[in-house]
Amino acid sequence: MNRRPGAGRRVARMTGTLACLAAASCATPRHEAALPPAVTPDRLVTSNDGAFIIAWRIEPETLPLNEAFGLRIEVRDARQPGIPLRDVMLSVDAAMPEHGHGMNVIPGVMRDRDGVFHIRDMRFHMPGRWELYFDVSRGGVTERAQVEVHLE
Amino acid sequence: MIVNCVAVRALEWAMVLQALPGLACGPERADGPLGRFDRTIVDVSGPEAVAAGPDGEVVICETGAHLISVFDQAGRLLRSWGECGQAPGQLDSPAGVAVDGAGRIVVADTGNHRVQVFDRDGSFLSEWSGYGRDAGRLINPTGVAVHGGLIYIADTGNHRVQVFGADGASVRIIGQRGRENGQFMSPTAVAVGPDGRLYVADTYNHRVQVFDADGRFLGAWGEYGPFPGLLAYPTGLAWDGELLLVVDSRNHRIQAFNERGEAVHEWGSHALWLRDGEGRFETPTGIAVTADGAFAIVTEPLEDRCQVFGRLGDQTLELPPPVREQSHFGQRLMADGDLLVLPEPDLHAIGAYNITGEVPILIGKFGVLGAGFGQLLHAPAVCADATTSDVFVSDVALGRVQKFRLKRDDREQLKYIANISRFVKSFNLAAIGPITPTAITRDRAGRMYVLDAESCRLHVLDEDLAVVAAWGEYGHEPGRFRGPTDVAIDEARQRVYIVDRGNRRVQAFDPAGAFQFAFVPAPAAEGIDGAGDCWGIAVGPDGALFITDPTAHRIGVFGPDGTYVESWGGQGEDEGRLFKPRGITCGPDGRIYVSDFGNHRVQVFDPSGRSSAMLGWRKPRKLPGDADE
Repeated sequence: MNRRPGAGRRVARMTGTLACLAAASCATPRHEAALPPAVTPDRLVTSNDGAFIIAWRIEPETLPLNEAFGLRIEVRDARQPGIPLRDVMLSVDAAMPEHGHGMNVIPGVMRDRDGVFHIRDMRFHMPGRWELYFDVSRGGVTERAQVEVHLE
Repeated sequence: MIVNCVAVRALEWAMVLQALPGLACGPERADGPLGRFDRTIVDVSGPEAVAAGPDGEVVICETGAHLISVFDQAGRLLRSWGECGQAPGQLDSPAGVAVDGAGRIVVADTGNHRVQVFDRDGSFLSEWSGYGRDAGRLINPTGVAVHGGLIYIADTGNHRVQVFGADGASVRIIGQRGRENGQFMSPTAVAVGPDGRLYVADTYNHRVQVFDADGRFLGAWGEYGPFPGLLAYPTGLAWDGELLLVVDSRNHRIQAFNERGEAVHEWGSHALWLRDGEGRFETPTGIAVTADGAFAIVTEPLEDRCQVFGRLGDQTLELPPPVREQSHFGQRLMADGDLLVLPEPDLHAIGAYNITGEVPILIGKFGVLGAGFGQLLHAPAVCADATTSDVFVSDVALGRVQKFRLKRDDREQLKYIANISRFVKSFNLAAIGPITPTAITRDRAGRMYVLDAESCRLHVLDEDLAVVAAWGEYGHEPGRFRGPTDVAIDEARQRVYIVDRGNRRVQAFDPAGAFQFAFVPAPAAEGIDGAGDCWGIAVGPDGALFITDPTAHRIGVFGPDGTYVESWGGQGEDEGRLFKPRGITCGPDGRIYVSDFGNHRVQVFDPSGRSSAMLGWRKPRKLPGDADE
């Protein structure tokens, strides 16, 4: 595949909601202490109505411009954040709100035997402010967690 | 991904052509295509549908007056029949009509969920069906077509097409609720082509679907949008030779398609002024072409009129620009605290207004077309919680309620906030059952009251989607409903009011669903058999009830027990006047916000009924020579 000029830059600046929520989560010993070592490097974000905590990380570690990347995600109950939830479904999407569009691809979602979701074929095709959405469904109710990503 | 969807549709259509070779465009008429404005038929009440009869007669469903009226080709009324009621020969909001080869008139008696057949003079011949989801039953039927001894009905509330024999026996059911090929979302028109295939206006899916004589899916075309070939809520179909005319309702135009599904011609554009016509439309619905092909008649229920179009001959129509300003308010709105929320269906958006001042100030809009989370397909109803800045939006096309949170800071000066909302969560009502959330409200405890007009049932749900209470089914008895339109809560009196429009009454329940009382929302002098039409309801701070009457164009004020107090409004465009009002809500200071739907505005009244402010861009036409204000 031809790479766009500048596509080699792998610079993602996480700001706004993500930074705040990650900081808040890190400052909360209750959550941090409950997380197993395997996910401590993950970023944490609480869903918009407070029901879930999403532990997520990018695979590879930095966001590429206009190249496929993946996500590793665990969904946890906000009241018992040490326990990964297995009775939930997850979909992931992203959009550039100021541009009124989303990604040009539909990411694939797979869950492994440990209940970890692996998202593949994500692609942010242009620089700017992206919002990354984690939609967690359980029992007919879907709740969103979201983070802001500035891709330069 | 609209481009991809269009490509898929084109592929589907190509497959049809492969399956049915040998079709070609018909010869063009020497007198040109239809589209030349000829005249207007006025004084028809809310006409939803029209059919062409023999001898150039035109049969119009006067839906608002529960009448069938027959006009000659010059627009002169020849005869009419019908009255509101359930007895054979009586009608309730008929919204579909067809004429068979023998001149019999087949009517979709929508509010009675049945089909009635009359002779050409209006004498009752037969009826069949009734409310229900089983084979042979109907819910809010609309479109009608007659072909080859069969009667095709757009069974709108059941999201299917049902085919009946001449004796009323159900022969075939085509489709079910959904968005896939062969499925429907509120189909409202059917037509059988010269090729014997069935064409269906799949209204909420913004497409036309094609089936063979046995009901097998053949193809589809259309996608939501304003450009030629795209559609926005198609509601009417008629054949003009080998062209299918489609009423592209929310694009306010007629499009003609050839048998390949290609848009070949269009006419009409959106009205610029209130009551604007003569080739401009305001949400047209039905269409028919006269037997000789000389004229097309287009119904506009919102304007109480039909427009008649002749052949263009050598004239060339100047087409409007493909993207036009569209800014209709929806039928429902909700005020809570300092917040007013108001759908704009054409934009698939919700407007949020601050209502602390004399005039509501727009502070943001949110919403985008789509079926994903946080997107809207067809969102008729909203409610808000100003304390948490949460806005709940129902979506009847997707059977869900979505919760958004507004980002606003009371300490800041009022300003428009881009990206004002954040999607919080979605309640998929299908997890409970097939619920169509036509109206919603919410109490202080966070329970959602979801009214399903199709199932005639109210569901009370908590935020985990657990059913707290549910009541109602189709019927006339207390506690049952026919086409309920709105719900409101009086928390102080522990009452839930439901506007039972089809039964011309308002019913009051306790929060568990126990029936308390009912009343006819009309001045006592008009009696039980008086107008009593009703659509929206709001509860004032003191428990007073404000109820819109779209037929009398007024707001009725009633005490908490249903006692008539006074009414405001009356038909008109001036300040304080109303035209077909629908939704209504009451702010914490007692001001009343009314969806003045036919005037395309929201009007604000103080508690005494004085009009104090208006929202909306459409103005009455100012004629040359009119004095400036």
